[in-house]
Amino acid sequence: MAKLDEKTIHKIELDISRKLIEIGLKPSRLIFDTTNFYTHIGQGENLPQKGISKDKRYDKNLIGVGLTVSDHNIPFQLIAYPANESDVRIFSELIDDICKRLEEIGIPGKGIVIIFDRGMNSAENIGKVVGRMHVALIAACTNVPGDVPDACFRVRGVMGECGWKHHQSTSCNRKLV
Amino acid sequence: MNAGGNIIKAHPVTGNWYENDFVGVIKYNDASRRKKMADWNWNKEKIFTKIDDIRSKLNRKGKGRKITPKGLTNRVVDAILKQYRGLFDYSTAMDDGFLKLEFKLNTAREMDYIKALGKAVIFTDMADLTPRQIVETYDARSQIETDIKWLKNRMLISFMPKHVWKDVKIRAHVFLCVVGLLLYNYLLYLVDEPDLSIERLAGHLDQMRLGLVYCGGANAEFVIEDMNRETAEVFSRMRLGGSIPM
Repeated sequence: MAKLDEKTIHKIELDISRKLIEIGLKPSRLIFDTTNFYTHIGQGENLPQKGISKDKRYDKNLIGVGLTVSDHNIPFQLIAYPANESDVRIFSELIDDICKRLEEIGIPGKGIVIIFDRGMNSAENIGKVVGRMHVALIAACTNVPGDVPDACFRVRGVMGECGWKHHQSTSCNRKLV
Repeated sequence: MNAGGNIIKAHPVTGNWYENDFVGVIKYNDASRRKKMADWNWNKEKIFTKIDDIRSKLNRKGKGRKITPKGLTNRVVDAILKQYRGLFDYSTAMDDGFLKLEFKLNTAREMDYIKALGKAVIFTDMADLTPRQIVETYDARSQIETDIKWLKNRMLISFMPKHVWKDVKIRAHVFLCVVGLLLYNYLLYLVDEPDLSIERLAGHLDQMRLGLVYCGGANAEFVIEDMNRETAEVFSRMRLGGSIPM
């Protein structure tokens, strides 16, 4: 297993990506998310660190994993990192890797939609993504306007033109257009 | 409907988020609101019980170190879950040698919080998307949540490394787990049956057994064991028949 170093893993990942494109599984959408899992490693090297455990095992050292999957749930890229590092910082590094990988497999970044959640939100990260690929859909729960009238939400999922244009700001001024 | 079968409602918005102009929607999930509301009611009660407990110990007499105002503040903060901390007003003060705790729920903030329950903003730079497309694209995130769930399933792909201590080996272990997930998802893609989960697929794969049978002729033959109808269908969809050695 020691022979599976980062360089080798990268080569295998590239080969797999190319093979998948050959058989018609070309990515058009990437979804990124992070998780962590606990280990029983007491004194390891750099990877096992204490952090906020998603399995509520705060007593154990954790390893963080960032997973990017493409269409059909096919894993596209993987990163293992110490769990005490923030998602925002990891994503910032990862976005460069994703763009590089897309370049290596000959897919233009502008045709890709990347989806991630609010854990990765920062002006720097979003700025980085905007220039290189289609910004993703990001959920931000900060300043969620609670005062959108319930009538604005139509049944069956989606509403059309309701006559409201909502400008997000700290005070959430709603304007009628 | 989202992956969980709940109706999602959406309201289109435009705005400047993180120094960029985006279009987006405010999505509303009533099931999520109900769940969060139930959580809030349950936790609110729990927080007040904890604060009452702290209050009862404030000016106790007897042995032991007396609680300080800073220690009291820390205890109060610890009693409130992180996501609810902004909803309470609290202060500690010393009055005639007695420690006093002011603690109350800020009802205005609580109202704002309750109004926003179940709502989330989703934004994108793709201005031509309809609210439905925005919500559906974002909802695709549920795929990865499912994948992560499978990666943590000890019976299927055990993410937790065992007998692996060094970083390079941990990375290799994680990579192998993800390759396993990739293979399962690729097989699911081949089978192309929306209701089939990785767990059921793994069950079908376990059912497929190949035997080497000698029937008295010159050579032994590879024979597939009998399978039930569902497993046989998965077998044929994956075109595994062509991989049997002749």
